Amino acid sequence: MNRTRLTLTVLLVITLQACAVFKVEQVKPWQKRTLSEPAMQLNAVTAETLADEHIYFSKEASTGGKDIGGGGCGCN
Amino acid sequence: MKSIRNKLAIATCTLLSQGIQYASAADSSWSSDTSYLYYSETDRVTVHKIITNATAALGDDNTLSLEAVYDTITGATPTGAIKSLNTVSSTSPSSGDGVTREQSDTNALALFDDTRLGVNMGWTHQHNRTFRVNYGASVSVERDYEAYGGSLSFDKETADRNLSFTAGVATSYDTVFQRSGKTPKPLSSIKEAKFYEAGNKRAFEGILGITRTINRRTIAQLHYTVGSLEGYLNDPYKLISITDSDGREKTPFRYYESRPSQRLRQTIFGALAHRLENSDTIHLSYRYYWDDWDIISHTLDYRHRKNIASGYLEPHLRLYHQTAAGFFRHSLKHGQPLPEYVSADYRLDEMSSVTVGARYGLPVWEGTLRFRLEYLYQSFTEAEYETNEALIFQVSYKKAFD
Repeated sequence: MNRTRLTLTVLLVITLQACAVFKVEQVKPWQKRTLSEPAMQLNAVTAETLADEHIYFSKEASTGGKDIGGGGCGCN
Repeated sequence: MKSIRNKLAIATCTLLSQGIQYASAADSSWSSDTSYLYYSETDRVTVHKIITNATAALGDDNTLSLEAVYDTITGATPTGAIKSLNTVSSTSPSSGDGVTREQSDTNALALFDDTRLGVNMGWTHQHNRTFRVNYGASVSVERDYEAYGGSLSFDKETADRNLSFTAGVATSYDTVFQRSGKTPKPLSSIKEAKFYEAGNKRAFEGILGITRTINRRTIAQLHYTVGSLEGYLNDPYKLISITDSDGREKTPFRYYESRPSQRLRQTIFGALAHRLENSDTIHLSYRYYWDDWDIISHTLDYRHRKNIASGYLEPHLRLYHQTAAGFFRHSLKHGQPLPEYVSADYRLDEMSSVTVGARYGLPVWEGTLRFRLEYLYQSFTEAEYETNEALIFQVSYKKAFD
């Protein structure tokens, strides 16, 4: 549990550092052209992401994080 | 005067943002993404997978998606038992019925084959400009596994659409069994195993998320997820060996594994997309996972997309490390009492993994053709097989239709 708390603390520090690196600014609707491009989408569901979810679900003990739901499997 | 100016500015923003939304809906009323995946481990599992997805916009407020996945899986998988120089009788997933039969080679691997058909459906309804509801349903059927699931989530944006909140729940009901339709009694010897009816597994998941526009070139996301599993959580094919002081198997030499009937999993997931000054796009994500089986994992994923002529090249690096489950054992010593929970499944061992590769995309026939080639290497601390290597090749084609 202590290790979990330590990791969460480190994550918080990294997040704050990231905010400092990436200058935060108020983005107006007409300034979102880049952000609306397919390459910039964080939650894009593609054939590659679906395949990866299945591969790593089958080969590792941990799963999830990006989303919830979806079909399980008895993969070996 | 200032008030009028503010109101005009708000009205302009509203019209512009709605214009973007309607334009994207009108641009493509539906799209399809079809893919073939070849996954091959060295001397072990080979998977051929076909994925097809269709997404349709029904008016301005509704989006429907339908996705089908078909897998064929063949090859050999570690049972959890140790390698033996002698040919012995064992249960294998290829027969899967508890009937003893001779296995060749080192008999720590079991030959198997399976097919899987999965269907996922989604419906997104835009209630108003800043509030969206997502409904999902899934079915997955194999020869020895069935899963049925549903999900419901909400997305709420602020008026300026620079901040979005996500909350959702999901549930699934799975049935686990060997090909015979039965499951072995945990910790029973494979020669004297008792078999029960199929096992059932229930899962409940929840997600809370926030997505923030950092600046006009950067967007970031933070998720917390929690999942509870209960019921039959064993792998009905996995075994563990009983060994003497020299590490050789002793009679009765193999038992079926036994896992706890509950599991609580949690994750914190952060992702960031950034457009560099040279027009390259980077995606960086990190996941911290922990559960009450004592497994903690770290996953770092980096993608760097570089535009090349009319297409793009996207190198990819994924690093992963997990600790072992508290009840993972390589084998058990003869003469010692059996623990309540024990498994030799290599996926529950301490593991480090790296995936490296690249994706290449190019426009073809007004769609996008993508090729992906990756190499996966896994290294285990105590498991009978110390490493696992796999080659991943995927070709996909996406096209939007008016």
